[in-house]
Amino acid sequence: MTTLRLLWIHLFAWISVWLLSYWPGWEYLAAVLYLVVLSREAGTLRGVAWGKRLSAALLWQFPGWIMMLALLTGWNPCGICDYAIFGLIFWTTPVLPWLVLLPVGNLACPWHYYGMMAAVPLLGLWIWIFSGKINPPAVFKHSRFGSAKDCA
Amino acid sequence: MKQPFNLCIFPFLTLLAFMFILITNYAVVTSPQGAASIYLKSALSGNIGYGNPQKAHNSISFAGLEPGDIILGAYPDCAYGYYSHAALYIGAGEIIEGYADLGITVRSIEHFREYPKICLLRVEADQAVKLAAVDYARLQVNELFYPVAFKSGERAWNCSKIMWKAYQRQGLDFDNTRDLWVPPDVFYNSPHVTVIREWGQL
Repeated sequence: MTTLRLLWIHLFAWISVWLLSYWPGWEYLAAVLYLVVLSREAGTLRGVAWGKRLSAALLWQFPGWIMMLALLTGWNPCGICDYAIFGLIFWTTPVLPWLVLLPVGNLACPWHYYGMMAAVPLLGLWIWIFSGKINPPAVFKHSRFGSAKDCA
Repeated sequence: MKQPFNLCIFPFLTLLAFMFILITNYAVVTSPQGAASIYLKSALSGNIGYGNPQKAHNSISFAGLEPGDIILGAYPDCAYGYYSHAALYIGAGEIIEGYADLGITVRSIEHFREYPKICLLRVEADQAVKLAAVDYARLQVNELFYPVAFKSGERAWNCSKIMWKAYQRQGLDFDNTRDLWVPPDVFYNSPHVTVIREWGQL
C-alpha cells in the first residue's frame, strides 16, 4: 500500500515540478516539498518489519530501475532502450531541479546524466533512512543545531 | 486515511498550475496549430516520439554554411511536427544541439546525414547577431536537456529552445505563435530565415 502511495506522490510531483517550471524558480518549491512529503510518507513505515520497508524502498522506483538498467546494460526488450533515457529524464523530473545544480565535470556525459541514474537508488535510500528507527528530523531537532534551548 | 496531506498536495499543485497555465495561454493551447494540439493528435495516432530513426546517408552538401545557420532533420512519424531535430551551426563543421543524454552539446554536423529529410536555413540577420547567438548557445553547453521544456527559463533546454533563446536574446524572435514550446518547425516557418538547401523527402 505504501508503495502505491509513494508512486502516486511521485507521479503528481513529476507533473507539478514540470508545470511549475513554467515560472522559473517555482519548481524548487515543488522539489523541496517532494522530499518533505517523501520523508513524511516514509515515517508511516517506522516500526514495521525491515522486509516491508525494503520492498517499499525498492518497489516504488521500479520504472526507474528498469530504465536505469536498460541504459547501463543495453537491455532492449520491445525497443525500451531507445527511449530509456527519455523515460529516465521524465521519471526523475521531481529531482531535476537539484540535478541541474551539479557541476559540469569532464566525463563523457554531463553530471546530471549520472545524477539521473543515481537518483533512482538514492530515492529508495531516502525512504529507507526516513523509515528507520533513527528518525533524522527528530535527531536534528534534539541536536545542538536544532535545539530550541541552545538557540534561546 | 494516513497522512492525507501527502497524497493531496501534489495533485492540488498540479491542478493549480495547470489551470493557471491554461487560463493565461488558452488561445494557443487550444489552437489546432499549437504544439499541444499537434502532439495530442500524433499521440492519438500512435506517434509519441521524434519519429522512426533511419540511416538515410543523405548526400546534402554542407558547403557554404556560416556560423548561426540552422540545420533541421526529419524522421518519419515525428510526433511534434514535420522536423524531428534542430541544431545551430557554429563553424568548422560543428553544431550545437540538444540530446537527452549529452544535454546541450557540440558535435560534428556529419551525423545529420542519417536523416532522410534535411534542410539548411540561413538566418536573415547581421553577422554580429548570429555570432552573439552562437556565443550564447556555447555558454549553455552541458546544460540539461528536457524534452518538454517550456520556453520560459534557462535551466532546461531542448534542441529547438536553445536556438530560439539564443536568437531571442539578440532581439530576433522566430516564434510568432506565442506557444508554450518551440518545435523545430518554428524555424522553417519563420519569416526570418531563407532555405539554403534541402535534401530528401519523407
